[in-house]
Amino acid sequence: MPFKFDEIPVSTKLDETVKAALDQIKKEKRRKSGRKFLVGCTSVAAAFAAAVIFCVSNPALAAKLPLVGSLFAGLEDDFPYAGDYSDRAQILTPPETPAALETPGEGQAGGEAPAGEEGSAPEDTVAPAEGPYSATDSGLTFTASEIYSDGLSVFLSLQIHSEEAFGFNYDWTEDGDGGKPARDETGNLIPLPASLYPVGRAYIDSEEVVFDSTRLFVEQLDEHNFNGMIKTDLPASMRGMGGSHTMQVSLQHLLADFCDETGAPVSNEENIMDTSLQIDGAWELELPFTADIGSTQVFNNLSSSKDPGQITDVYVSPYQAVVNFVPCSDEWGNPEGGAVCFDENGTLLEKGNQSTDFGSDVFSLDFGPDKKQPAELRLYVIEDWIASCKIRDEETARKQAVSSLTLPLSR
Amino acid sequence: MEPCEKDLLPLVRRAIRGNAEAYGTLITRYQDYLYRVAFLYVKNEDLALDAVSECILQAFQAIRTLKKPEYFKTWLTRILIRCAIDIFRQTLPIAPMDTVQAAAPEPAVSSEEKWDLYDAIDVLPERYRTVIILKYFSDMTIREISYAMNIPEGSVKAYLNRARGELRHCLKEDYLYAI
Repeated sequence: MPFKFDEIPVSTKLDETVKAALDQIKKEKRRKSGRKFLVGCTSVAAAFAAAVIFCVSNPALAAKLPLVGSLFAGLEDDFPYAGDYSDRAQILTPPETPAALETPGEGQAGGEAPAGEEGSAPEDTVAPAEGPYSATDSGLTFTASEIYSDGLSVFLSLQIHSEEAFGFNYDWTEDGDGGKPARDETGNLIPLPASLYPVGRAYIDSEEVVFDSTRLFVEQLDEHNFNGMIKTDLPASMRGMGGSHTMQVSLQHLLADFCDETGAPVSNEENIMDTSLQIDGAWELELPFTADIGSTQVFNNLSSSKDPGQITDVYVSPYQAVVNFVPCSDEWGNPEGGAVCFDENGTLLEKGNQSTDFGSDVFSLDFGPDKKQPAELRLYVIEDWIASCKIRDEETARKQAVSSLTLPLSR
Repeated sequence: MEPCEKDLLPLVRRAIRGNAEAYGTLITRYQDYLYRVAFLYVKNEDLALDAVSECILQAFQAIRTLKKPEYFKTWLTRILIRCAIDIFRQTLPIAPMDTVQAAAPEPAVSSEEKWDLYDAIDVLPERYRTVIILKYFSDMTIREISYAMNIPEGSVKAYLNRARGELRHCLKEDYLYAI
């Protein structure tokens, strides 16, 4: 190539500029982490964290906790996918394994004596029973626990069991102070959601869908057992429609990041930049589910205009709102834009983790059983997608919007 | 397609989960690249630094929406381009970007003069300049440029053809063959 891109001189101030920007990010993150921790101490999340600490230090007891059939209820507070789907979910693997004979209350509060020596024991850890919704290879078993679809996405809870012990998933960077691990008041490491990344493909009724392992959220029970849940969006052709479907999941690898008990990250010997662990294998799951659209509201053809930013369709389930709009244009005349959503009180609804292409945004909701749903959604479309991510208040949204819509919801 | 080196994917995954350390490592890895791309747009050290800084902040804010970790570098480039354009606009607040002839106006160049591509891209309209920078300086494939600019691959090819047509007046023959 005759063009010497690499010979463009780099500013001597670049290191300083980059460091300043990254410091700003870390400072902001520390501030948020601190606030989150304080709130967490007085919340259910803290109770859950305590339970996880208990599990990590008592692997044998941890194995006594219910592992399958009722994972959603235990996971919902710690994950960004709003809602407890337990009351609506289809149970794929009933909680009838030895590990799951006790109720959560008995397992955690009862303090039943472990079967073996405390902290030893891979042999104390109860492997999941094989079933039609389990797949085992390379010493690793994936068991589908529950599945739920609101007609927009599929929410799947999984148990992952490894014969070989994993390290623990402490986040050694969260407190942002020189890479020291975060510890609680008594000096114990604070365990955080595990970093496991199953790599593979997923299909719904033979149509491939995005199976994004970075959206899998996992809690570690002990060195061998993990509970997790993942959200996968339905293809557009099935969105808002009921009916029975089959989800096929085909996994080829499991990647994992973890730390040792000192909080130091476990490095891959071959490549320090790589994940701590990679397990190769073949795991195939075929999971039937029925799309439950009984509580899903569909608003089609909201605007016949093709003007940029016009909101065309909105889907509202108890757990999320999907907003489709005519994309705006960027400098090149290409699709752009993002939506912002508030409830009737002006409370911002967070964008979901799986915003789709330009012209569609997803927002987290949670008005499942016993929870009050918003009376209305106030929607704004912003010309610039990044700008839409920055907006925190309705007034700013109103000023920047190229279009808006207030949508009353039925109760 | 290798827009993001495979050995960086674990870091990208951690960054998507909000791990600032992993994100910082990635940025450090790409910082020279980011600066050079920004400089190609704004041709000014301080403005290029501003664009890089803004890109770093914006990208972290939005990283949870990155759907494919392997596209991290391309996705980052896309945000950088937007930042560079915004900053460039602030220096030229009146003329729309598509009509801006950024550095030397074309009439100042006789057909006898031969520019290298580094100078020549300044006379291109914005969209053509972007495809040239991404293709010949960032070494992106057509598919990656399509993702970075959020335009169809066919449009990328069309822009490249038109850009090469625009550049025909001011590039040496060797460069044309290289393109």
